[in-house]
Amino acid sequence: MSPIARNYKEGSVIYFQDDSSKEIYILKTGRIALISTEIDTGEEQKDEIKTGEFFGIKAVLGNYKREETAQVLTQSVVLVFNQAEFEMLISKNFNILMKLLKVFSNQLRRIGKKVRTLLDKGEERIPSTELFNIGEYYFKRKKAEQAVYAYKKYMENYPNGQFYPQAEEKIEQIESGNFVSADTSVANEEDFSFSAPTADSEENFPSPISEDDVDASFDSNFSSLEDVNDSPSIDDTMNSEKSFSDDGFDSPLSGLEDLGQEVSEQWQPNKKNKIEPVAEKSTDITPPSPNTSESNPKVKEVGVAQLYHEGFSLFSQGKYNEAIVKYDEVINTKNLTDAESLNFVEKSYFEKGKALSESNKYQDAIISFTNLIKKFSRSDLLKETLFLIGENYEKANQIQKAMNFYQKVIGMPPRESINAKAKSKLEEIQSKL
Amino acid sequence: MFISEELVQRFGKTFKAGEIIFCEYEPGDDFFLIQSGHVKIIKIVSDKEKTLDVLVGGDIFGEMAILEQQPRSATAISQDEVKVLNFNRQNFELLLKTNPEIAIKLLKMFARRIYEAKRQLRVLTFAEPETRVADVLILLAEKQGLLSEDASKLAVTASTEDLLSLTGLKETDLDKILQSLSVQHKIEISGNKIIVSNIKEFERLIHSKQKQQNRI
Repeated sequence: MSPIARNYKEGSVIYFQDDSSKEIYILKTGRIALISTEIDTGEEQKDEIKTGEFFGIKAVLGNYKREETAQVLTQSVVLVFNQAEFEMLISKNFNILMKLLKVFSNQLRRIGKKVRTLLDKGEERIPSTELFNIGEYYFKRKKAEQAVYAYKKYMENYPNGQFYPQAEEKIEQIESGNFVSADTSVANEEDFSFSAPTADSEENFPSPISEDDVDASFDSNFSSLEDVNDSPSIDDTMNSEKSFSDDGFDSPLSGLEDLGQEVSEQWQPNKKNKIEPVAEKSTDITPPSPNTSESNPKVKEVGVAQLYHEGFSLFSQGKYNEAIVKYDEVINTKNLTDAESLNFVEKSYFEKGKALSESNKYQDAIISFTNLIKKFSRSDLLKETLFLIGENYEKANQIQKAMNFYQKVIGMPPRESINAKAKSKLEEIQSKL
Repeated sequence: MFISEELVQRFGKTFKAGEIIFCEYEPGDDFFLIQSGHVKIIKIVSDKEKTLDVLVGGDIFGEMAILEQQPRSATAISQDEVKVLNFNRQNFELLLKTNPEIAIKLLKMFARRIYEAKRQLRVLTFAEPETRVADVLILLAEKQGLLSEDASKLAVTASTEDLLSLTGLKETDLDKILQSLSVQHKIEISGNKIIVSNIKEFERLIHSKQKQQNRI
């Protein structure tokens, strides 16, 4: 598993807006521009990528379609990473990771702020006042504990704030008992009425799989599938003052040039090109304390990573049986607990399934894919795996099952190319029936 | 994820049910990793508590404050007994360094949220309330994975609260528009669902509005 280099002619396009996104790129040589449309003004924006810069990251990580078009201005060479390769690369480059986090969170705040401004019609919110208002909100509703919390935080953080005396007075009122009737301390907890998490989250975040779920036989082991979409809320962004840059979203990530440069220099076409972790140069970061890292099974990690990559390489040479042996070694490694190693196990099930499928062992492939879903019910590969199970059933001539799985994929958000692919597969089958 | 006993001892905290962990607009420079229990994330919107999410073990919250040094953007309340690891800026970096997959998870979460926020921004760029409502219905249909070639009769789950907070409209205005759309048989309201007769029609509307805007 290593990045490949790709040549593009002048005038060609690496990807178009609305294309599905699978790859992340570093510009090695040449000139490339990202062309996007501003949401609020509708203006076309053109950002040129610097040599050594990454592009195309966000749509891949966020799993949505390209928001811009990447156009080649002069003949260019780019390094191409798939998501797994990219994640591996950045997980070994702490500085890049932190930079990316900051870039992303900064964008998020900026876009959120724009949203907020439009929602508030320009009313400026002052955090200190708003904090006091939260106290007021709970005070009005006789939620003593919550009101006191907000007032106290106000007083702690804004000792010279204009509402300080009021906050103090309200707390006194609450504590002297003038505020609540005798039974409210009990009622408080009740009227806070937290609904059960499942009911609640379902209401806000509809389950990705339709209720009239098709394949009953499939379900018993996969009730957790219902949870696949429970990633942290997006709404909390939508309604908050967080934000977004107007500078075109996949605009090159400044500051990431160095890494890209190093990676692209290390990459040599004729070597067995593996990405070596870029040496950590920065000194400003506290090294992990020996106590926290000593029991970290790094040794095993390297082992399974190595095996996985060997499998991957054998697979790409068409040596499926040998690849399967490697993947099995990863899968059968005992006592793996850290996420990185487990991720290799997860991917090994996936790749093993593909290798088995390539060798026409469809039933075995289905078993491997099914194991993946059983063991990693929240896998990022879930949708693709379901699709492949469908495909293998189709190849094994179990048409009804194939249809059930395609159906499942079709209904899974987000809507992306694989949903469409499943749909066309399903229609193809139906047209033959 | 690798969480040592030592981390738990150094950074572990327990909240009982109903406690505020932090409050919207409160300054803060620490964040939390849930070990067990449920944490409800809420915001007060138009004088009502709105639940944004319920988080469970393995989820992270409060991270924006660390990365950006901004007040909290929502309130976190424990729903039952909640055990968390509580990190400040310094040990946030330490945690990410020893567990890069947490950082990657955050990156993915941000990438997704940026997308959603931009999507809402598109809604808000339309001046006419009716266009906003149409675009929000498309947004929700997208989010709920309902869009496909066959666009007839999509049942979009949409509470009044959601519609209000996404469109930024007043309740009376929203009601008027929903009513007028129903009268025109463009939508049908049934409980928490809005059945859209033909989403393609809404998409065409949005498309033409975008063109108009760009000409101006």
